[in-house]
Amino acid sequence: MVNNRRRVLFKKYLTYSLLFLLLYVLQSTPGLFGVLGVRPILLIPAAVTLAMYEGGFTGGLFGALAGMLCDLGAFSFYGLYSLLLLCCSTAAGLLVVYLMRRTLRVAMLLTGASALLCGLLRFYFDYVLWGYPGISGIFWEQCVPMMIYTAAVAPLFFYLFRRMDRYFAGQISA
Amino acid sequence: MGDFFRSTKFKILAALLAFIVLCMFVTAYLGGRSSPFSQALGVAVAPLQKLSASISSAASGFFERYLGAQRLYEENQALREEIRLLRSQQVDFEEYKRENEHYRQVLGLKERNPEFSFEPAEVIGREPTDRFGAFTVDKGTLDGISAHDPVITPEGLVGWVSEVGMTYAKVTTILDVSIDVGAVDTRTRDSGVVTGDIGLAQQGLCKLGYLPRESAVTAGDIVSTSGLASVFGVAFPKGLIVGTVTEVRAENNGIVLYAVVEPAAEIRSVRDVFILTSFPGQSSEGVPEGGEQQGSSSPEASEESGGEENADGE
Repeated sequence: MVNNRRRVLFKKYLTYSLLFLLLYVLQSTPGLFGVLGVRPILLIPAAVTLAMYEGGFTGGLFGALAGMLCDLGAFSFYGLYSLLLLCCSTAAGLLVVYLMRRTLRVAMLLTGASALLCGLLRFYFDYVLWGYPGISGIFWEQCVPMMIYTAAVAPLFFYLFRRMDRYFAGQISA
Repeated sequence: MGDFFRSTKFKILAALLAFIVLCMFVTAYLGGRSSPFSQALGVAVAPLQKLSASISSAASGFFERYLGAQRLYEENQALREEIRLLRSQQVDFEEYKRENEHYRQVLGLKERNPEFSFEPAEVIGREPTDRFGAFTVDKGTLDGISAHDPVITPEGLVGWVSEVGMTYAKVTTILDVSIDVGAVDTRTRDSGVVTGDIGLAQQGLCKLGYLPRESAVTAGDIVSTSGLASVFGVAFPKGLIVGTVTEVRAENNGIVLYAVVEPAAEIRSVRDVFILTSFPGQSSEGVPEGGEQQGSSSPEASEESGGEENADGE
């Protein structure tokens, strides 16, 4: 029974890791998912919704993994996404365990908040900090649509992880 | 919730947080090189990105074949018309040939600079949030790429390698506000600095700044690299085409002019590039031999630069 549980848990976390890797490859592939020049950061909703099912600890670890992958392709300083997604995912996991319900509305709220935090800080460190002129256009035409697009794909991951969570829970109890 | 903050799990997460902060410091300390952890992750991910980019490219090519049937038909008709015109102008063949040679001299890097060492690379990733067309290519230190190597296409300059891992490299383009490239107008020989501008980058344009008020630069002029190092010591070989001037405007301070430049390379859609791993004038630190810096007014340097540019333009 214990061996079966360990094997299923190993399979579950391996699946999540490979899924995150796949999402990174998809989000960084030129031309994919682009709508009017705006593309979502798929790993943000994935990390946050996964944390809602796995809790603060496992969610935090996968948040850090998602952040490291985002940092790999990002052109700002290394570690920003890792720090933010580690904190956001841990917070999302703890909020669902102690304060909030695990619903689609909460998932979208938490994903939106995480995307907003990441987008604002990235915008601050990349543009505001350096005092470039004319950055408000970038904020409204690129950053805000990116945050909205990122939050909008949260239902996809919410239902995906719910299905995967139920599947692996069934495997463990079998 | 207080139990969680006293648990071992929280301590593990805190240790991970400290590790990430350490990675940030290591990356900042290493400058253009990726941190060892980032490199290890990059080695695992780069082949997958390459595969994904290939699949995406093949899929879009497959669908474009059918979706663009009408466009291809029209293009075919136009090409037939062009062939007819060309046949009727065979008497001007020698002149076309001579013009072709001229363009090859201006644009052809290998013919004019056999001493350049190129490394072809494929674009495998573009970050969703980047505004300046930056991308990742599939070549890294294992292929001889180093930070600050210029990146070009046969059409012209694209940018430079801003960060390099073992199997990948990140390329900052000339649309980026952080880039400075010493450049010269090939007709008037006015020198300036090519850099990005947030407003222009949205339209795929960059600017040639610091032109004197009396500059005669006009729309249609060709801008090429001057071979002088930027203030950050990044060197580009002399004579690389940067783009074409589309407009000349005055800076807000009213003291100097700047020219809006349309890059010769298709920066936002480029899929294959060349990385210059070695070129004349490149020292080990990336600063041209002789130590010339941007803003130097050495008459020998400007004369030499102008002489060659003039030769190109003839």
